Amino acid sequence: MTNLKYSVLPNLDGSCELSTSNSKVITAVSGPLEPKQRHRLPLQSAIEVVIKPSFGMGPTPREVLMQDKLATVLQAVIVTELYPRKLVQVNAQILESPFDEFGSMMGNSFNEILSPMIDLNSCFNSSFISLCDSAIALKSSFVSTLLGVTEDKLINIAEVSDLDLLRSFNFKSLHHIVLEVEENKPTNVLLLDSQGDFNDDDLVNVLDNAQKITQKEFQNIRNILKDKVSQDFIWKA
Amino acid sequence: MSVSENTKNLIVPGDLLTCAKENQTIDILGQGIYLSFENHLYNSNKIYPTNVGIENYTTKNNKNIANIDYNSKRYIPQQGDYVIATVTNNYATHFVCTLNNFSSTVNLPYANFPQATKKNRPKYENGDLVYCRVKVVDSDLPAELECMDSETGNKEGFGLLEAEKGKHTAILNCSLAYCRELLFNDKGFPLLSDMVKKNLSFEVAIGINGSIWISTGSLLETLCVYKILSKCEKAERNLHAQIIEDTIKEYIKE
Repeated sequence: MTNLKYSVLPNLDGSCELSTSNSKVITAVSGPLEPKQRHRLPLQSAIEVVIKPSFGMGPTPREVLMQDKLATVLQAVIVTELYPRKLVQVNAQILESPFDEFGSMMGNSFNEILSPMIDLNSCFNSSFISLCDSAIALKSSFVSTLLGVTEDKLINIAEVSDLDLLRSFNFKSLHHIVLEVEENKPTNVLLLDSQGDFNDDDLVNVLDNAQKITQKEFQNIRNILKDKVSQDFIWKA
Repeated sequence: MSVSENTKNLIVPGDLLTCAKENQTIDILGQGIYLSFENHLYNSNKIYPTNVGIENYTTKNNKNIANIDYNSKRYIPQQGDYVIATVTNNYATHFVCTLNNFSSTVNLPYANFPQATKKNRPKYENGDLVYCRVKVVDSDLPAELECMDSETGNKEGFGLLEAEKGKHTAILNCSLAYCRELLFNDKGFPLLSDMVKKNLSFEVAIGINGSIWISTGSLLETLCVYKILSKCEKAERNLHAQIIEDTIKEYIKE
């Protein structure tokens, strides 16, 4: 179950706190801002993404890879031509990761791969609400899903609440899919990032399921946005 | 029309606009709607909604206007808007002002003041608040402000916002839609008139960039007006009368 809270940071243009059964992130969007000279692009806005880890100093190379993936998707979704020579800044702070405990890397070799994927999945969904909150122009909506394939099952990792259960799964492959949503339907793949062993049939199956989950999840996001709009104009009602 | 009824036509980026669905002709695209420029002749180009909000269609002078009503915090300059600018720097020909923290700066040339001559330059200091209007917005240049009505050359109430002797002032930051409603829709949203009816006397300047400047005769009155305006932003319309009454009781009539 995904729990979303919008406008949690009142001094920023847009912010959102997202918690799923096994991860928690807070994202903030500011923009369009005055950029530094080196960020200034003549005909479009620059997008800066900063992701901070749940503990220790960051962004470490683990987060830098996540930032790059998030930035490529945002580049496709934000109407960058509307803000030439401006900067859109997206910040994410990971608050809780299921593999925070010391020594949790032991035992399961997938942990090292799985933990950044879980964090990034949450960052994607949270940053969409933040972008909507900050009123930055977007071409379309997007929803991110993280699916794990075991020997006989397909698992939506955001819904696994028990950490021990999550560790007990023997994933053959992991798939992180970000789908563009237009007119309430998933239309386009913005990011497909897979790890592990899989074949064509697995991937087709994963994409089919991701579409169903996206459609369901988008209804949830839509309801939250509906609530946000009525809160924004509460003084008018 | 209350907003809660209207949230039925909630628009999210990626949705199809009602006008596009019904093939209506739209002459003017307002905020929140974007016409793509894949085709340079602008025929058969898609129009996208770019923000989360409520669709709104009006007809003025036989022109169909479409826009999306949404609320935000960061102001982007538009021609003709009334704004409260903060002076941050001055040069030989113009002041540099900001309308929003960390946004691009805007210029206020000395020539855009009433009775401007080469020798007669306004003496504003950094940090001063100026009530002015956005004169020109060009996508390749910083926006230009003016402190007069450029058609008549009159002051028209623009200029430095300063406390007269014995007055207390404050500045309040609000969301943009709330400021727009307070400034332009006093008939439909009579919050300020209601406050005056309760014997609160105050001077107010509302900038579309999300700042409201208040000036009253005493510190308590300033605090009272400040509290009412910030509380009403987060309360439903039918609670506003009660908020005004309670806050006046709390601050002025013990």
